[in-house]
Amino acid sequence: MKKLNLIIKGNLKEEKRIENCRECQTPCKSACKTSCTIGNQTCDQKKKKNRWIW
Amino acid sequence: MDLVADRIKSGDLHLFSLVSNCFIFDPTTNSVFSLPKEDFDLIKSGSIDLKLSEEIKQATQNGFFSSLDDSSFEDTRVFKSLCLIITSKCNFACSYCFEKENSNPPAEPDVMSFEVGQKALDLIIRLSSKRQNIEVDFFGGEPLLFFETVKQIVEYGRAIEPMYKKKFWFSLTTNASLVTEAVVDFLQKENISLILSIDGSEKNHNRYRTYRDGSGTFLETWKGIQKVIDSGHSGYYTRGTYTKVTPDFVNQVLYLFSQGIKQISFEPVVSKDKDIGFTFEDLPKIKKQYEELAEEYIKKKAEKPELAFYHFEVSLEEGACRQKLMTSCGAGVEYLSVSPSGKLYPCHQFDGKKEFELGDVYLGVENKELVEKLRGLTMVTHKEKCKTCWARYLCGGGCLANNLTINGDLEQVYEMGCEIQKIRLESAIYVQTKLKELENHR
Repeated sequence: MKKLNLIIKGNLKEEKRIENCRECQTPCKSACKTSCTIGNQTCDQKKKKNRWIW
Repeated sequence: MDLVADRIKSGDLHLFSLVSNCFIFDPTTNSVFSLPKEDFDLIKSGSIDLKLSEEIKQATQNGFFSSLDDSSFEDTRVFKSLCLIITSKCNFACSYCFEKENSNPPAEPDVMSFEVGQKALDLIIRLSSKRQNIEVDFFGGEPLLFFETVKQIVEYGRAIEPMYKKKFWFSLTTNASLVTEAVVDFLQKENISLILSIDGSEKNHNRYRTYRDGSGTFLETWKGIQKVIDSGHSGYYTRGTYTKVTPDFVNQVLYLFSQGIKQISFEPVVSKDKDIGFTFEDLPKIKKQYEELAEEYIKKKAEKPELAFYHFEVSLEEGACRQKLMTSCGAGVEYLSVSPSGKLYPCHQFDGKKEFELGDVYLGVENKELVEKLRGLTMVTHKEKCKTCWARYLCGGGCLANNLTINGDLEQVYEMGCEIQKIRLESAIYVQTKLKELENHR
């Protein structure tokens, strides 16, 4: 039995996408802008067109 | 053990446990692994089981726990995001608000004219080059004090979008007290996101969020929020603040969920005031709160998947690209704040600070030297503290304005912010693993 079990495979090294298109939301780290942590952001190429911004 | 110790040191492997679950997080891919508790304890004691060691080695050969090549970063950032400070006036006088310290010199107008808003949109269209998506947030003070101006600016934006092949994504940050049916109708029609400030229950909310006479603002706030809920507008978040005096945000978040609010954000106050600002002694209490909330949240999500606690909703599988994650906030590089008089600042928190003025909506960005400085400061690889931090690609580096508020220096990291961020991210990763398991069992 394996000891190390993959639960979530992240997409940080995913190759099949255009990198650095910069069309996703510009993050703001300020708490009053609800600290838009970049970890919350979804790649714009995968986002539904009717997105919301924070 | 050498490999694991080496990867932990370089910030390419993070070992943590939460609610009797043990994890290895791989920051280089945003992947999460589980491991048995006895192996977790063994690693913590400085040793490692041979089988686990082999499995980690194998995973490394398969691309996990291996640093990204950050040297290939191409800085293509251009301005594409605006914060329009419609007014510095507010009908509230919340005691922890930073905006009151940013009062514009009396000689300058404290209400934005339509002309300034119009010029700001024209400017961002010019500066945004080939970017199609442009974000514009209406901020204050309380922007709904001048709703007609907001409307005019949105209508102007919508009118020029097709001409320039751009798409404006508007949002509005409000204390909700001036939200009417007409306001909600307009926001819904125009797909405008809402950030509604509320600190939880009436008692908690009224602790800091008061009128000038000291009376609480909860009732008016709640009426406005109720209108948003009733309208079915899905693009909103409520946003609360917790402080040293009101650290019990778990109950506040649960209270808001119970009142029908579906999307919530709760943030620690950033303040030098010893009465409300956090110190390192508060961290165990904060950690306990996030862990408690994580447990409650998982149960709630199982029943109502549409609920969202913003900070737990990290995108590990569909997140932004590596190049994006290497840059932190957009302050002064992708993001501009526009004062009511039309002056440009790196972000809303710098509003009115003369030394951070970048130009104005008429002449554009003139202080190129400051922009170049910010370009460096908003890159993870340029920050010593971030380079080997496991959370670097989820956090993106801290808030420059917070560094300035707490340490009086843009470059000196606000360390409490880092610690809280890491605690919150561990809880978020834990939540995501549990939600993944739920999803797999459905």
